[in-house]
Amino acid sequence: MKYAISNWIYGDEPVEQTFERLSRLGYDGIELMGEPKLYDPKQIRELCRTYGLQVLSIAGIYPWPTMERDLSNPDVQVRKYAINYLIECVDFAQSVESPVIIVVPSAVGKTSPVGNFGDEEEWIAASEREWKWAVQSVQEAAYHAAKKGICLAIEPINRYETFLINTCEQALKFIGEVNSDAVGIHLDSFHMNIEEPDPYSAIKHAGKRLLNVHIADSNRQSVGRGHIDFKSLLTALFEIDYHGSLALEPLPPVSDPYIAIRLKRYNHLKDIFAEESIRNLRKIENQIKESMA
Amino acid sequence: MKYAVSSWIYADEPFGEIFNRLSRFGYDGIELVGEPERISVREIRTLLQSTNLKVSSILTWCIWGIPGRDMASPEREEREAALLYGKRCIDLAVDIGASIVVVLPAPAGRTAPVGNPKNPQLWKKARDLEWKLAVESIHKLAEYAHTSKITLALEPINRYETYLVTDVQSALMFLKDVGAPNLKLHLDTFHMNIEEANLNGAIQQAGDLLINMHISDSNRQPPGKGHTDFSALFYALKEVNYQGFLVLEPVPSGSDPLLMVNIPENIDLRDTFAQQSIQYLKQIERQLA
Repeated sequence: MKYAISNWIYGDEPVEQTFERLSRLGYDGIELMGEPKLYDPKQIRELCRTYGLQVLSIAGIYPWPTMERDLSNPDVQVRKYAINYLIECVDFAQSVESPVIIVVPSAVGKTSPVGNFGDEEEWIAASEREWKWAVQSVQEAAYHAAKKGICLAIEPINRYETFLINTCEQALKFIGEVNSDAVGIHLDSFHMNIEEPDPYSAIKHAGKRLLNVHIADSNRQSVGRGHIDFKSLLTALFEIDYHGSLALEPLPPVSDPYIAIRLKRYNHLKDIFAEESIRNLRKIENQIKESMA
Repeated sequence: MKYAVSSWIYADEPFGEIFNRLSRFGYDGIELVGEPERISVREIRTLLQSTNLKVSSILTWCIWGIPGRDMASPEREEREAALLYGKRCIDLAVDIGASIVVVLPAPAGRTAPVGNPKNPQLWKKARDLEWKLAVESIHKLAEYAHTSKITLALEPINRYETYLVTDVQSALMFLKDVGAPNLKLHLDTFHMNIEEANLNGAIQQAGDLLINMHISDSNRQPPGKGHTDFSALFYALKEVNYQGFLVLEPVPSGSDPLLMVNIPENIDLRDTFAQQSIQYLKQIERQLA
C-alpha cells in the first residue's frame, strides 16, 4: 500500500511543514487540496524531490453553498464554473504529477436538491434532474482529464453531506452513465461505516474501478481509535489488487472538522495521529501479507 | 427484551394504523413523539387498552427550526418556551402512563453554537455558555419530572445533528453537571456507530444509567441490513442488566429520513421494516439463549 495524508486536515499549515511531517513518519505521498491558486507547482515538485514524496491525489473541494463548484446545479452557469474548476484541477494535477482527482458530483453539505418542493415526488424529480446534470458535467470534465492522462474518482459521502451519491452502488451506477475510461471511484472508510451495508463488499464491488481511498476510523479519528475492521478493509483491497493510495484523514475529537482543524489546543495531535495511523495500518497490512504467504 | 417502535418514523399516519401494525407484528410497546397538542390522550388510552401495547417513552421533538424547543439557546425566551414544552411532554407522559421522557440538551440539527462564531476561541466560549444553559434547563425539567415520578433520559446524537452531547462520555459529564437522580441515559445504535469507539464499551460505561434505547442498523435501516453487531449489543445489554425497551427506528437510507418515509413507494416499507426488525432481533435473542 502507498500511504498519504490529505492536507486539508492541517488547515492553513505551510505545505513544507506537512511534507516534513509525512516524510519523517514514513509516508509515501501527500494528497493536496484542490485549490490550485494556493500552490506553486514548481515549489511542490521541489518539495517532492527534497522529501522523497509524491502527490498521490488531489482532493477536489466543493463546499456548499457555492455558485462555483456545484456540478449538479440546475443553473447552467453554475455548472459551467464547476466544470472549469475541475479543468483547473486537471491542469494542476498534471503540473504536480498527481494521477487522480476526487470528484463529489454535488456540492458537499448540500443535502437536498436546489429549490423548494411541494411534496416528496417533486423532491425526487428534482433529485433525478440533478443526477443527469452531474453526469453531463463529469462527462465534460472527463474529456479534458482523459487528454491529460488524469483520472477522476467519484466519491460517495454520507447522507449528512449530500443527497446525491451516498453508496458505492450509486457511484457505480453514476460512472456507468458517465461511461469514460478516465472516471472511476473513490471510497472513504468513515463514510462507508455509515452508508454501506458491508464495507468489505463495497470495496470488492468497486474492484478495478477503485482509484483512491480515504481512511479514518468510525469516529473520524486516527486508525485504532474507533471500531472499523481495518483488517477486513485491507483484505478486500488486497483481493482486488488495489494499487492506489490510502489517503488518511485523522481528525481531532471535535464535532465540526473545520473548527477542529483550527483549534490550537489540538496541534500536538497532528504528529501523534499521523504516526499512529500509519503504524497501525502497516501492522495490519503485514499480518495480512503473512497470512497470505 | 421488550420491543417498541418510535412513532415519528410513521409521519402523520393515524395512530389507529400504527398501533395495529405494532400489535400485529408482536411488539410490546410504542414510543410517542412529544407533540402534546396533536395527541388525544383519550384516543391513545383506548388504543393502549385494545392492543395491549405500552408506551415505552415520550420522545421530545426538539428539532432545530421549530421555535420554542431549544433548551441551550442563549435567548432566555427561547429557553423558557423549551422548558414549558418539556413540562407539557412530562404531563403527557403522566396522562398516558409512560415513565420515561427522552430529552436533548440542544435541538437536533443545530451543529454549532447559535451565531456559529468563526473564531475558534469565541466558538469555544459560546459552546461553554450553551452547555451551562442546557444544564440549567434540564435541571429545572428534572425537578418538574421528579414531582410527577417521571425519569428523563438524555440522548447523545451524532456530530451531524448536534455539537453539544454526542457520545456517552459527554453525556455522563452532562449528567454530572445536572446532578439530578431522575436524569438518566438513552443510547441509539445508529448514532453510536458514528461516535462511540466501541459499542460494548459505551454500554458498559453507561451501566445502570441506561434506561431507554433507539435501535436501527448502521445505515439506519432495519437490524440486519447494515453491519452493526447486534449479538454483541445483546450481550452488552445483558451485562448491564438492561430492563428497558428496544425502541426501533428503521428508515430507508437517504439525506432526509422524514422525506424518505413519506415517499409513496416507501409506504409499504412501514410494514416490511417493522416485521423484519423484530424478527431479526428475536432470532438473535434465541441464538444467544
